[in-house]
Amino acid sequence: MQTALEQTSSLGPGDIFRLPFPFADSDEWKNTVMRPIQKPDGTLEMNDFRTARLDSPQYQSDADQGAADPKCPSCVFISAD
Amino acid sequence: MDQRQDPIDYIERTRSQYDALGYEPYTWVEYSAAPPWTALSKPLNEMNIALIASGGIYAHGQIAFHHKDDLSYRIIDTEIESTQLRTSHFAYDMTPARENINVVFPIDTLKTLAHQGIIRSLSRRAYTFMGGIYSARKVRDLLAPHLLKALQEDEVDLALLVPA
Repeated sequence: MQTALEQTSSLGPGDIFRLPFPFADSDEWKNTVMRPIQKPDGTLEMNDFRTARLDSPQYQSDADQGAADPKCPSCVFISAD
Repeated sequence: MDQRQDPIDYIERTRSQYDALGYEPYTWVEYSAAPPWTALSKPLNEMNIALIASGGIYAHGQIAFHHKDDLSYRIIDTEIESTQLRTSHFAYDMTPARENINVVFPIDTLKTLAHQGIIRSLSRRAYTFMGGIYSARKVRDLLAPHLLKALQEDEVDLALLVPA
């Protein structure tokens, strides 16, 4: 984080600084990201793990749902109208 | 260690994924004008830094995000214990973030940097929303101005935007 923040004083528009920290020891994981998976029967399947776009609050746990303040002064709702 | 690969071309893979799923081609947002640029005028150790994150972070006691183009945002008091923070998002695997919220909301990391004097302070208020909002226009015209006004009120020197 410190290394990243230190770049803010030297980078300009459009510059990209690559931090020297790989996500994993091997880059093999990059081969399957957003790529079709071949099933045993030879057909291709897309690994789409996104969940349904539900229009009600989606809590991490039931306890969170129970503790939620319906007035919630730190929740800011913006009208799109 | 294996030979490193180039960064993933997510634009190309998004096009391929949408095609494989039978969706209409994704319409990318394009802006012809260059973004405004403001050079920093002070060193890090004099900066009050704001944290903004789009990973659907909310605090225990707050209302969670819904997943249908939720334009709302949450104000997180950065004095909060990070164990009280949660995630709600439709489009990424939240398992690591739920084990350690700093993966998508580096609040403890920034507090440590402030404690060490690397930065002057972490702004008292952080802002979170749930990315993946289809309408870029609504983000630009509705959500972003709210966040900008809040950051100006907080008198921050730098805003750190953390995606998920």
